[in-house]
Amino acid sequence: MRRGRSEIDQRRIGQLLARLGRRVPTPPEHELRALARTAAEKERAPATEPGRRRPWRPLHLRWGVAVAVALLVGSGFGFGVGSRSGEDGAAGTRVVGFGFLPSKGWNVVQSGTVGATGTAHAVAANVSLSADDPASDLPYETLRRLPSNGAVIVAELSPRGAKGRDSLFRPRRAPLHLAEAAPDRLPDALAATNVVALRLRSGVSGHNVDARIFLGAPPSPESSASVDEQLRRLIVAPSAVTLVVQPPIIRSTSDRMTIFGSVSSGEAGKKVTIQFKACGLQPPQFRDAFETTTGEGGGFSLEELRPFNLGVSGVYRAVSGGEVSAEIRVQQRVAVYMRPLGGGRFQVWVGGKVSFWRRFVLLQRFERRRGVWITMRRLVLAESFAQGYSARFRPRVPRGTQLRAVMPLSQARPCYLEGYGPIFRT
Amino acid sequence: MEMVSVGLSADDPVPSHAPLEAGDAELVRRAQLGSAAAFEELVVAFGPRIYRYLVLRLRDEASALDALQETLAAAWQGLPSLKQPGKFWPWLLGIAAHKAADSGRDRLPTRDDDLELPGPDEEGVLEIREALFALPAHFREVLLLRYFVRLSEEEVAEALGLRVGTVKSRSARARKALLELLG
Repeated sequence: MRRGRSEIDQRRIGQLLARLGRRVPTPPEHELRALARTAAEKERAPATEPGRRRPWRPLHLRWGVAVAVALLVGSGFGFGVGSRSGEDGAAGTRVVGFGFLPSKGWNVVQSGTVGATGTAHAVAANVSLSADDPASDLPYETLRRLPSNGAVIVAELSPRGAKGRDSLFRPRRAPLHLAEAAPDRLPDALAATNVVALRLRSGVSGHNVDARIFLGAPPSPESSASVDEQLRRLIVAPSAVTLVVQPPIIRSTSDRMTIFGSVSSGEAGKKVTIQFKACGLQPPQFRDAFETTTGEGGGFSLEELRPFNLGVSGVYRAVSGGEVSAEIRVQQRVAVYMRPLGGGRFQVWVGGKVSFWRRFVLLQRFERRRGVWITMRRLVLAESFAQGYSARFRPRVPRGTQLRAVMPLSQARPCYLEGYGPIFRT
Repeated sequence: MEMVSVGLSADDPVPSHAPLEAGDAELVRRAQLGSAAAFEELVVAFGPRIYRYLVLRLRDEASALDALQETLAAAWQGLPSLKQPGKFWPWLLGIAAHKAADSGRDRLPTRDDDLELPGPDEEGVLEIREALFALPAHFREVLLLRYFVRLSEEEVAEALGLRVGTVKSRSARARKALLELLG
């Protein structure tokens, strides 16, 4: 009976609010589009180091600029690849890179590796690429105008080791061939065109290569040969060991960390050691943290790790067979705790692997009218407590005030980021 | 858990909550990769609903437009970190809810210049408006997310950073308060 009454009330409130909502005028479409464009104008902060500006904007390069850059990079890349082996076949300086070298009559654009996941994007086309196409997405404008003899290959390359994803990418040896590609669903934006979509997912040199191939007409012997020639020029030359650590910032004890990556040889069963250099550790040196072995295609992964056990910001790297990956920095927020002691008194303490003695935290109260936190005073951490330092205080605030303690970056660095304690109501 | 359909009429401006359609999910994925055009389409699709929510939450169109702009800016920056594109809608509402809270306007007492609704007072709309605006901000917040935007209790909890139990009890008290005000 009570439940039935509740259902009626909920239905009635839903109807009342909907009636009210219908009377609220909404901005016209052109205004919404303008709002969206304004929001998207601002460059995205890089995921690895929030707060620092990226020195260049690979995701927003328009094709006109990108093609010019690609020609420069491509020529350098070509020399690099050419120098990789001499006449005697001996390896020279190792070249690292991803992307297409242009086949005759083809244009190529590539982003290099982008973001914390080390993903790279590369596009090759035997037609001119439209200046309206964003560099990091499918080139829709080009595809909409693709002639019957046109072909576009969009490749995304990422390290193996991400569980659940590797199984989609069957290990193959380069070069890839169009005949191995499967028919793919055409994106909705291209539904009105005659474009034929094919997809070729492969594990190559420890990397997953997701090649989406678009043809202006069903594949013919000529178009297949042309695409194969361009696929032969797809370069997958990763570091000997690739490492990805996520997330780049550990926020709380409940956060879990994922480490994955691959070895370029693509071998299964190779031992990989993950090493960690902790901030503040003397002498500063890498120490073994985890050990694993590679799976099919050379990928490895460690999931649901408790980064807080290591307890401090630092740098990770992977070592396998004498080869070392690039170093990946992971930062950690400092842990701030607060508890009531009774009699209107509270204790705040900060724990970590380094000393916080005589450092301070800010005691803040929530100003409900303005919806902001106001700093009331500094609390100096002078008492040793548990695995950290603490301070006691008696807040002089009205009953029901919300309080929290914050350790600012100036006090938490260099081995931690700022930390926020739980919120208490007096 | 008490799951209730709040069955609205067919011309409801807020369609019932459902997973993103395939086209929307593709747009989210493209926007995550940096496509401003895809983001624009998402804003055209979801913007009106967010705006209506913000207007009713903040009781003012100018403040709602400011909050919408801030929401979109934060969404664009945060999209690459959205792990489940299918949860784009509750994720976006969570940002909007926080931006509305940041503005602080919803915690101010009701004012004479609060939202004016165009048109005649059909079906007691002004009465509903006054009752809704008279509610404490935290009641209005949870009512709008639960019954206007129609997120599930779990999604409301996630959007507001509350526990599900808190959402349940708060929405029950808010319902009671609203119905009492409406008589």
